[in-house]
Amino acid sequence: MIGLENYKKALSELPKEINEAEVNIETNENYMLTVSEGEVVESSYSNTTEIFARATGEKTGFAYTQDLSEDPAEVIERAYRNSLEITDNKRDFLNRPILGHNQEKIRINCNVDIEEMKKTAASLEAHVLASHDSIEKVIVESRIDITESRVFNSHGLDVSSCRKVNYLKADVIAQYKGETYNTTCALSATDFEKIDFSFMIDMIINQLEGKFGAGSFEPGEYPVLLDKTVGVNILMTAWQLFSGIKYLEGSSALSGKLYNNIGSENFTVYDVPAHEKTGYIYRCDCEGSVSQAHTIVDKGRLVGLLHNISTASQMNTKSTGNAGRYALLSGTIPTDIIVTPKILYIEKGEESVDTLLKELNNGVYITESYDVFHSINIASGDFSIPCRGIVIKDGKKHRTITGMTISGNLLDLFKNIKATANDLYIEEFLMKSYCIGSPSLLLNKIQINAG
Amino acid sequence: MSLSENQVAKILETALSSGGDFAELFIENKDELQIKYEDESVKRLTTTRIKGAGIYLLSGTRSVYVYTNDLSLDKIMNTAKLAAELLNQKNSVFNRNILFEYRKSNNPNKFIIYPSSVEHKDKINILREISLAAKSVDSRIVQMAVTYFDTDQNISIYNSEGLFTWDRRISSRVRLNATISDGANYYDDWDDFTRPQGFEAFNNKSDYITFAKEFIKGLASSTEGISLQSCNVPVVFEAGACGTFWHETCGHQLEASAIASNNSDFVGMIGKKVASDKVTLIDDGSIPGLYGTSGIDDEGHPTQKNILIENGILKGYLVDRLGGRLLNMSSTGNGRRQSYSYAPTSRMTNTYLAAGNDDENEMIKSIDKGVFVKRLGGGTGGREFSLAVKEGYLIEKGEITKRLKGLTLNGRGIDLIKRVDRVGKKLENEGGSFCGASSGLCPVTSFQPRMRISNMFVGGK
Repeated sequence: MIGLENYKKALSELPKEINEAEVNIETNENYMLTVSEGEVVESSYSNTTEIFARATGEKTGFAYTQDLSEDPAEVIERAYRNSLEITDNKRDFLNRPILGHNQEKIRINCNVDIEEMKKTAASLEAHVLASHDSIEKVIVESRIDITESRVFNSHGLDVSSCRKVNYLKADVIAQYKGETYNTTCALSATDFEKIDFSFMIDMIINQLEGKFGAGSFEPGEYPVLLDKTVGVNILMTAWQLFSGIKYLEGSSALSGKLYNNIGSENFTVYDVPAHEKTGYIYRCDCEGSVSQAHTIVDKGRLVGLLHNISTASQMNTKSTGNAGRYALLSGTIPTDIIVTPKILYIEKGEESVDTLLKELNNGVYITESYDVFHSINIASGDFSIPCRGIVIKDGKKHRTITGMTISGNLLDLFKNIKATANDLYIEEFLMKSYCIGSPSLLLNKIQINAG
Repeated sequence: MSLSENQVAKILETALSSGGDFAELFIENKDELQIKYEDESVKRLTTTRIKGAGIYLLSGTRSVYVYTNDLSLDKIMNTAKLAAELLNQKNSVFNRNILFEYRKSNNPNKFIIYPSSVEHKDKINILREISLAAKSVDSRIVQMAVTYFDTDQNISIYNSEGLFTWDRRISSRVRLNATISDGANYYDDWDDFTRPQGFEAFNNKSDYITFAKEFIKGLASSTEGISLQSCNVPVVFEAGACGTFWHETCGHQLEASAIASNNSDFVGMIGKKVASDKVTLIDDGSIPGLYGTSGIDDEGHPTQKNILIENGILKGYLVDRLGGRLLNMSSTGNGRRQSYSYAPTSRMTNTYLAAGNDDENEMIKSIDKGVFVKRLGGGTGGREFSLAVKEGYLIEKGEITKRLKGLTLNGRGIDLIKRVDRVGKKLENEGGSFCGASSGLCPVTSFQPRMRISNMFVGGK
């Protein structure tokens, strides 16, 4: 096997036809246990190394390999040969060494205690089982991911980013009046001890109570409270509105609206490299740009976009450290450098969900939504999202309803945010390459379709 | 490096050293090419090489999966040792010598022009033709990208029962993505031209040119759609790719993993009436020419025709090796995975509603007010499903009239399949797409004859 340091050597000895080149090496080690009735029923381990290369002569070409026996010089040469077919006039820009961030080594504790993973999972299982009479079975997945991303190029840049994420997921089966119901809840942290079981249990019970014995509902416009999981689901697709690529090509409903008001004063969106509510940390992006915390929407005003080097240069600004590769699943290894978030979330408010339900008074608490991938159009902002929820009367939960869709336009939804709750929830997404977060959102009104 | 049979046997024996009654080594080599064409120029060309191995270990219904892309013998042996440590069950000791017997895989899909034998310029020419054809349809296109993909996957499977087999799967695909503006609003969409073939997929120019033109026509007409007030009406689903309805309403719930985890309305229903008499639902990974077809599944079982529902009676599930142990059933050749980096699990292949005896025109003519779904987008399955309607129309007094927009269908699958009151005579298949689930993205097709649900909730506004 060729040592990875040999890639660095190959970059220092580029053939004369290659002006510049870059290598991004992603190493992932993953441990996972699934526990049911206190016993491990499934376990897995993986250790993989992926190599992304790009090389520029007159144009820029890409190559990707998992074959660790390939000659590094050949992989870079392959990327260069691929550039010869490019007819576009643009070439990629590579980062230069960044003062203070070169050779950055983040020390993390990479020890993995399998017994601790098992005990934690069994403990969560017991807590969830005891939390509600309806819950019959709980299957808990306990996972630790250790990831290192290293970017180095022929200009001397050498940046690395490491993280260790501890993750717990509970799959719950419940019985209520002879019917079976399922729900799932997951949280991550830098350490298992930081995962808040009671937060997970509250989420599970809330989801289940939104399902039990659900009936139908009259369509119309209603004031609603969108649960935090619904906010996350919507933003998992809707973040693309803020992509510099989509903005520039005119395929975002926000194209041309930078520095305009696009939401209510209660709508603020951040993108940050780390957050206490998740174990994920993104210190640099796949081009080696250092990740920064920045504001995308400030009290309803669109003040920033997500940029990689290319989109930033087209808008005469600097990369925000948002170069990424995974937008949505494509069925192939995504090698193209695009724009993705790091930890993108809506700012939480001060009030609890109970307080906001009282403020809602009469309306609908949307407790769950699904299939947002196929039901939001980023270009137009139109959405029609299947969901279920609870009718709220006089500030109290009245009855559960299902078979609904909420529909409208995302920009109208942003403008109708009356308040945000204090229950920010952050979820990993898409091959763990970024995270999305939202608190529960109180909306003045939204169209609910039901029958 | 390639491993000898003796080395493979040692790896499997090492994995089984702390108990376990079954071990498997799955080795994958896959090459992919991706070319992105935009604004009449080639923007990106990327070659991708995927190479790795996974070890699957079973002890009764307990499973361990480990994988690595470091294929040095030492590293694979260490990975096998770790699998044994993770299992750590001393209740049984595997003490047989493993002798492999080669079993030939007969892939019903035949490949003529291997992607690696074709120059990039010929592939780029296809993109150019598709781009020109698409742009000729509507001048309001503000953004368009055409992306070419080909894949050539070779898998080898060895297991402790002495099986050695391999399969080669090749596919070609073009993704067309476009945004249209009517001056006030933007509308975007994408679609794939997919074939389980080599470059012969593009032998017939009219196939991919028609795909491009029809895609843009559909996108252009979406600018003129009207919203439908929520209502309960008969819904007719067009023949062909609207078979996604079956994939989401039933297919996922019939996978052994859903049944074993009690995450399905079909648990304990075999032999019972679950759908209308008109419903016969089949999954068949052995049909030549379809995207979900292969010679063997990803556990080495030959693919086969599986009748899931026959005349409304539930007949069986989609079963992989572990699912078979959990349900006390035999594998149905449905153990699938995207790559070595996923353990296999029960997945669909080519899922279709069998042809019926009803007249295709009558099922529309007999509707006073209803919805005609011509094209479905993706969706999600489970006890409750949702499906995005990409192209739908109003039916008024027996005629297809106005284009509808913003339609999403959702409901409980097991309720809706009881309301199938018409199934047409002409079964039409489709190009195929990916299905995403716990073992990654797998190529599938979902198709049907024209079919009608007597009454279901639809609505945009």
